[in-house]
Amino acid sequence: MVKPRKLFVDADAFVALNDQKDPNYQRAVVLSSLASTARVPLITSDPAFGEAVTVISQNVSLKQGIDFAEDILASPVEIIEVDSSLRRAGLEIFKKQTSKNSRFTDAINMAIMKKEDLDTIFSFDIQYKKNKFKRFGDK
Amino acid sequence: MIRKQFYLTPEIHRELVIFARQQGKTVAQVIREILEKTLKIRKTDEAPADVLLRIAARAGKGPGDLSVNLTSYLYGKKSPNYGKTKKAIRRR
Repeated sequence: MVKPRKLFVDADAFVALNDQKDPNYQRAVVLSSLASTARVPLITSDPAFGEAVTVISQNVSLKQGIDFAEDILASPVEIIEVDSSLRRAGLEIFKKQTSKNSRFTDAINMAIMKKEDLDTIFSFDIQYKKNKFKRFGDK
Repeated sequence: MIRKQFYLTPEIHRELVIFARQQGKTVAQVIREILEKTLKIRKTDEAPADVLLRIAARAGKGPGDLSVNLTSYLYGKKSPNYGKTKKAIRRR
């Protein structure tokens, strides 16, 4: 596997790591181990982080959500804040989506990856593959 | 080292000088130590993704399909407020 320069972590990967019953839990752990061994720097977006905290606190437990948020904020994970140019770039990507179930957060994430010149994402979402991004761990 | 200049109130300055003298350290050394402690600067050799493994190690028990139905849990049928009126949501 080629080591990415930076690895973008999406909300679903964060969520999978917080729920041991999640179907992607084991794979998320394996991929985290790979990222750890390779010492890849991690980044995420403010909206993806917010989505993860909300879903974890509502569906696992409030404490789990808060502990997760505290851990990430105290870690070297870089959280990109969305400014007007990223919002505009995200909208341009969003316009190209064919499914009405697309999330604007995903489009923002893709805009950040394009701006940062990144092509690999830690996510289980097929949406990224359709948009020509590589999912971390895929062959 | 990076040189920084900033203002201190006379009270903080006085307390700092006294504290540094008691500790047998310079004022600059005391300020660095306080900042280091406050900012929780980690001097460990931790990889960035180690935080993910720590999170996974204390994972809880959720519904078992969170990551695959994330949109539904956020905005759809599986959201806690789905199908509720504004009045009902306010009452919660």
